[in-house]
Amino acid sequence: MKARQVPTANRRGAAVAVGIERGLRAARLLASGCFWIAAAAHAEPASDAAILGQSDQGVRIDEFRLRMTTFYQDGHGYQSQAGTIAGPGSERALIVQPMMLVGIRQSSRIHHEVVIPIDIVSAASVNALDVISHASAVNEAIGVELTSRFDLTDDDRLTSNITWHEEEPFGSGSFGLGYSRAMADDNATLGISGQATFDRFDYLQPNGDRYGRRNRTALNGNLSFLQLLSPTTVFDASYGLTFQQGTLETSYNSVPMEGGTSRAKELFPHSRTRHAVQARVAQHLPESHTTLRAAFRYYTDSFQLSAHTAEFELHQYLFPRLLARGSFRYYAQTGVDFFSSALPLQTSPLQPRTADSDLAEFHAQEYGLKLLWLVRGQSSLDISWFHYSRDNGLDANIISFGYGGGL
Amino acid sequence: MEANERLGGALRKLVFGLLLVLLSASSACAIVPQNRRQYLADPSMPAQDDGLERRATRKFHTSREGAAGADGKPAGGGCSCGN
Amino acid sequence: MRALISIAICLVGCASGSAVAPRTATLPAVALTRSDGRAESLQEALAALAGSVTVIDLWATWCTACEQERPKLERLSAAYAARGLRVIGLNVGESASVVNAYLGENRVSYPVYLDPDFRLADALGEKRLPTILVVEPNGRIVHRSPSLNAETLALIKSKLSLAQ
Repeated sequence: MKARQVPTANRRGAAVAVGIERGLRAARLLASGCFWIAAAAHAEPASDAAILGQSDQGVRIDEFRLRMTTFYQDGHGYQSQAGTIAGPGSERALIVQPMMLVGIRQSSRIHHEVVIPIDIVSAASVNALDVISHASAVNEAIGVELTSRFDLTDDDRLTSNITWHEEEPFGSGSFGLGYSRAMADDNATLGISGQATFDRFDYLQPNGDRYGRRNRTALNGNLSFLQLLSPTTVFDASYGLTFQQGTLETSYNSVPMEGGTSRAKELFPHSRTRHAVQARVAQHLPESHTTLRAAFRYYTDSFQLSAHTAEFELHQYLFPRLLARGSFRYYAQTGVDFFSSALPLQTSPLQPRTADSDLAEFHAQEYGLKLLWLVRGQSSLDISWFHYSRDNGLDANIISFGYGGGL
Repeated sequence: MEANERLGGALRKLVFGLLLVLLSASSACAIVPQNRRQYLADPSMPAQDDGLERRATRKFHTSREGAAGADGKPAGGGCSCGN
Repeated sequence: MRALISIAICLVGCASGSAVAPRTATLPAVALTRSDGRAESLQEALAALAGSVTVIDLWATWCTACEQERPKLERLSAAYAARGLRVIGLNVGESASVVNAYLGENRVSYPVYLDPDFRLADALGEKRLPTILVVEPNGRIVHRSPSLNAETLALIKSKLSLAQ
């Protein structure tokens, strides 16, 4: 097919028409571009909710921590049957304790904290029933603790606490309430709290038999006071009162009798009143990046046991993000007035008695070292080691790893 | 009765001693404005203590010793650890 | 009874008095340094920025509540900078090395000034962190708030002559 021949005058007109059409197309494109630019310039900024972050407000996790602690202890106690009838038995045990903490922010004034501790206790001997309460040499325990904080005003805070604990022959539930008031621009805080704990457990005998179940309750009240003494000094003091009632003894513990041929069941009074007072001070030294901390506690109870505890810590920055802590703790207690490692044969079966090494007269020392690495933001990683030693024959090494912080 | 009197006397002395400390502390009270608390917020100061670490050491001490309390936590019961 | 009286004296002694200085109505003429080391007063900074409304955030690296405000201020700055809003961060009580180390790890798009000796914070009568100030071009402080909340945002928008 041959191309159509177009006259010269028509070709010129066609070119003008094409040019006009292209021009109009360009103008349309330019106009639409201007429209979109103008539209963008007058676009609404992000919504108030987006700016204030309300679109992702609501319940969120603001803290997460993990900790793994292992306790290896070795010693001898007269309450343990892992030895001769008359002599102290082994208290050797390995305790593995993983724990998790989750902080949940419900609102600007409501915060919750959930802690889940797990205890896995294994003893070298099935007869070391002071540590475990089962025929096997391993005892597991798990608990959940929910602590809630309600900021009623900028100065008033209410706290609640609910705890559940479960292990093989033992169950416990606890709830508590607390109130604190901040004064003088948060320079001083006064707090009061109370807790009620209910335990229920199998009534195990030293020979492993179970005789039904028993209960006990503990009512606890605390008063606390905190004061900022300077921009680098904090002081706090507290008092705790506890009243316990019910079956307070560890039923599978036993007490050697005189003569070395038999053992009696441990037996406690049906009630116990406990008082404790503690004072602590912390002083930061900015020039040397050091913090010194000291604490002292005095304890006494109706079992005639009284104890003094003194603790000292030195925190030192080795590098801007690496903190080292050295600690020392001294503890001294008198024994309960019904402690005996050889019970007279004529002792009444209703008379309280115990050979529990934890309730004997002893002195204990503990020293430890911790390294804390401040990871980015509010997170940290730490490792610590403690050595605990009692002069009545118990030693323990404690190693702990921790990770976590604010999110 | 004699034991109770001893207990009461010891407590009274301790409380009064503590109050003397508090009074001397109060005379040294300084109002620390909230914007000047950078050292109090340091990781080495009590406000930043790791709650899980304190829990683990408290559990060990209350299981292996007769004393407990005055730390804001329940003293007695809650486990089969002989506390 | 003696013990109770001692406790009461102690608590009153500690709880009495307030150190809050009177609040000023306008920005004090206090020289500051920027985080990059340049020395200039806040008025010079505002003049250089030529904004119609300025939001000043008093903050510190150790203040966790301040950390929660920073993303909101970033979003505010991004949303209204084209409308004439200026956001300035004012670090209170810390050295340049500490602040710059923080800024190296945390992106802050608006200018940051330093008040290491609390001169401006004290002159403003502000003792709390964080504190959000809304300032008109003439230096008059029209609003103070502990956080960037709905009320503060509404005031900012009204000052920028935006429809609610």
